[in-house]
Amino acid sequence: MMSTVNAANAFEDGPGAEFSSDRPTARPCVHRAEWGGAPTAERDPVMTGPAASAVACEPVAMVTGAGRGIGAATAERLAAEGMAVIVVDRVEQDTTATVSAIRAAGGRASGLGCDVSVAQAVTATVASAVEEFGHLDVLVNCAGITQDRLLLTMSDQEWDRVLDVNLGGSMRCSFAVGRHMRRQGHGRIINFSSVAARGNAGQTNYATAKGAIAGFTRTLAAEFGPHGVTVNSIAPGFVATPMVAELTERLGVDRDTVLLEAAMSSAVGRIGTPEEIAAVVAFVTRPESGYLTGETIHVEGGRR
Amino acid sequence: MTGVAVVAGGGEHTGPAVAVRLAGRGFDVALLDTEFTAADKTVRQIEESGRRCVTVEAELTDTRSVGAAFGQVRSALSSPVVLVTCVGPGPVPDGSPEDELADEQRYGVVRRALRSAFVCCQAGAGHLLHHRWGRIIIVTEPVDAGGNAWRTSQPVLAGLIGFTRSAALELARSGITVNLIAPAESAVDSRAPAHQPAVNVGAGSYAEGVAHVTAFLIDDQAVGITGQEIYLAAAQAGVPLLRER
Ligand SMILES: NC(=O)c1ccc[n+]([C@@H]2O[C@H](COP(=O)([O-])OP(=O)(O)OC[C@H]3O[C@@H](n4cnc5c(N)ncnc54)[C@H](O)[C@@H]3O)[C@@H](O)[C@H]2O)c1
Repeated sequence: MMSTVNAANAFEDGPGAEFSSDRPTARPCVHRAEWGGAPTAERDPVMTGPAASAVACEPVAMVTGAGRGIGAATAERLAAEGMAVIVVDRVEQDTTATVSAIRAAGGRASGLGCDVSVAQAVTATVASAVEEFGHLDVLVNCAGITQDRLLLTMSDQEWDRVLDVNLGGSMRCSFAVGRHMRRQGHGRIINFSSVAARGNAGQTNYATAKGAIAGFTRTLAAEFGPHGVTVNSIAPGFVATPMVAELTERLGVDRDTVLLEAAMSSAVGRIGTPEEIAAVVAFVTRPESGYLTGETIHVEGGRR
Repeated sequence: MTGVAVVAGGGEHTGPAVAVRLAGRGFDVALLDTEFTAADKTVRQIEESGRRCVTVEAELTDTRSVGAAFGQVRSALSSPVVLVTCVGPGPVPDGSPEDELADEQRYGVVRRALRSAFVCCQAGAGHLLHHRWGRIIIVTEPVDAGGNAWRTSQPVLAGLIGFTRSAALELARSGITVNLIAPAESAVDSRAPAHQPAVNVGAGSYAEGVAHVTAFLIDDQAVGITGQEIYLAAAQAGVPLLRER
């Protein structure tokens, strides 16, 4: 049983209260209750659905790797659902297209350049995002790369880079943003794993990183659960994005043949679109999804 | 098939137990580790059983160091056909949730653990390929109960699963199998007691379980078992293997 009074007081209680001293001076915002934050003495522990309270300000989402592909589609989708979106990509210039698209559609967006494999860059980016928006409610770790090579000939650099961007980037951003979310007492973190984590020839580095992301997701969900923060992963199947186009080009294989093969190996008989992945991310960010955590959701059109 | 087996890492329990078992199956054994504290006993035990055993110091996350160590193994014994590589997630600092350094170190621990699997398996596979027969067994060590290591064990285990399956796919045509052994309590859908301290030595210990599965997997007839995870519930006096419902 929730009342609006409790919702308004949501910032003052709960496990997040211990961090209250250095809470950012944000506009008062009540989404913690909307998101079904951590159970408190006044709150029914079974209260997992959305509370009947108004959202006083728009939720803020940070999406990494949002310059193109799945990240861009996700940023646009979350903006369309009423969130202010911080569009992050390796360099700020890469964020302009997504930021313009969101603004053109009447949404609120801001672009930041950040290489997620660099710890200081992540810390600085999260700090400036929090300064600009006052709070961070959703983090989507979409920045990712592949550098395929057979195990026998893979270089140390190829191994390290794929681990540092995919896994290191997700861990760093989650820790940095998670710190704010714990203070707030609510939050949604969505990582990007991949069906490649089930094993893929030529991708020992990528499969390791994407598998580890799913494992990290479970661990962080256990750590952040008591603070009202959920952590999940999406494992997309084959989605036609620039990443895939670059891959087929690099391997010198015919793109259409690869797409057709991928389509035929899925139950639905086609490849996926970035928008379909974005839709699942949007679902996970909703207040009503508060009982879903630690999971890796495979969005791959089924297997055959 | 017998020949030379390399056991990388594995400290004072898993490494020696596997090495002794392999020697019992007719293998000469090379132990690779960053440092050796109590290898004398293992070497003596293996030599008494009529097999050869060498210890080679190597930094297991360093490609050049491990490459050089495999070179030493080849000149001291011969080119190996079996690699057992033990990966310990290792402890992470007890940082507060506000401790950024602890967060960064946590990634460092995961990164090192995963890198050691890559480095050792890459070097090992290069040798195994010459024989067109080979066994790679990746072992994750149990984490201490009550400690902080559970914060890294899931990412390490899940990463190693992706690695094992990918490497298995790549090496299957060359007659090389790649499998993973892990503690049951770390399995995602496990109902085994969480963070249960595994007994270290003797029958029913994790180390003996790993040695037993290794003996099973190195059999010629186990060629069809690859890319798999095998979970071991280490028995402990008074503690049921699976929690009662
Ligand atoms: N496309 C697929 O079929 C597929 C399948 C499974 C998983 N995924 C995962 O989904 C996510 C998005 O994939 P995509 O296909 O849209 O890829 P993409 O290459 O089209 O886009 C990835 C974006 O991440 C950015 N990025 C790369 N390294 C970065 C870094 N160090 N710091 C900041 N930004 C960085 C790139 O600049 C790019 O804009 C990735 O994590 C990918 O691994 C994709």
